[in-house]
Amino acid sequence: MPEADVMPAHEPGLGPDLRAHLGAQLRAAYREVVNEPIPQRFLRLLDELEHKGAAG
Amino acid sequence: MSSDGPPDVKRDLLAAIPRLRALAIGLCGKSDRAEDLVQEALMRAWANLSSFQPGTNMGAWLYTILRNEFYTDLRKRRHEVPDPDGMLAATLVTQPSQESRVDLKDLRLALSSLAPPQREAILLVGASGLSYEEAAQMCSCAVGTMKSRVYRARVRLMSLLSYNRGGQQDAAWDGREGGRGDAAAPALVEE
Repeated sequence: MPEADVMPAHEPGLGPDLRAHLGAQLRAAYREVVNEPIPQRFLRLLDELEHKGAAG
Repeated sequence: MSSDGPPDVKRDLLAAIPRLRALAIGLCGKSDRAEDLVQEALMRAWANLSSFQPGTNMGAWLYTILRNEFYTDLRKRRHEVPDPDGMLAATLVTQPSQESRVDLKDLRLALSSLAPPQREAILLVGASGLSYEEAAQMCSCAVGTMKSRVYRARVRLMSLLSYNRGGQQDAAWDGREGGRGDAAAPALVEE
């Protein structure tokens, strides 16, 4: 996939307002997940791994 | 190699989970698959702790493990999924223009239509706030390549999301320089 070649000096069609809006949306979506509590399965997993590691 | 991770390793892994999860969900959508990727990455990380260099970024290291799985997985199921743009466009069009809640839903949908490397790029740089350099390093690509991916992702996302909204967004679109460079944006809306 040729992709490193398309890098215009300016970003046509990307008005600064829209761009800022998109950025804010992306960060919000990301933050929403980051702020969720860690699912139990991962806490259990790490406990298991730790005990297994210590025992083995 | 016995992987008796000391407590601080466990603590670091725990601390890295929320961001790792957010990236996995960004890549796969909110799904069992995303959670499974995280699980797998944690297990692999634990089994390969000896290859982690203390003092370096645990989160970045975990992500490189996760993305390897993601792309391996993707190659395996390549034949299953190709996203038909038309379907995505139709979905977006039928949704009413509403508040930011809907925007997020649309955003997730639009993200899912990007080619994975572009999706990854915009997640790392645009959503999680990494520098181009950091993101490029995590993806083992040149910085210029990362910039190009982010740029393309942005163009496509904006083209997908903008027409779905009310007058405010249209005004923003109208504010651009007259008619130049539209070829960069995929045309999803027929006149």
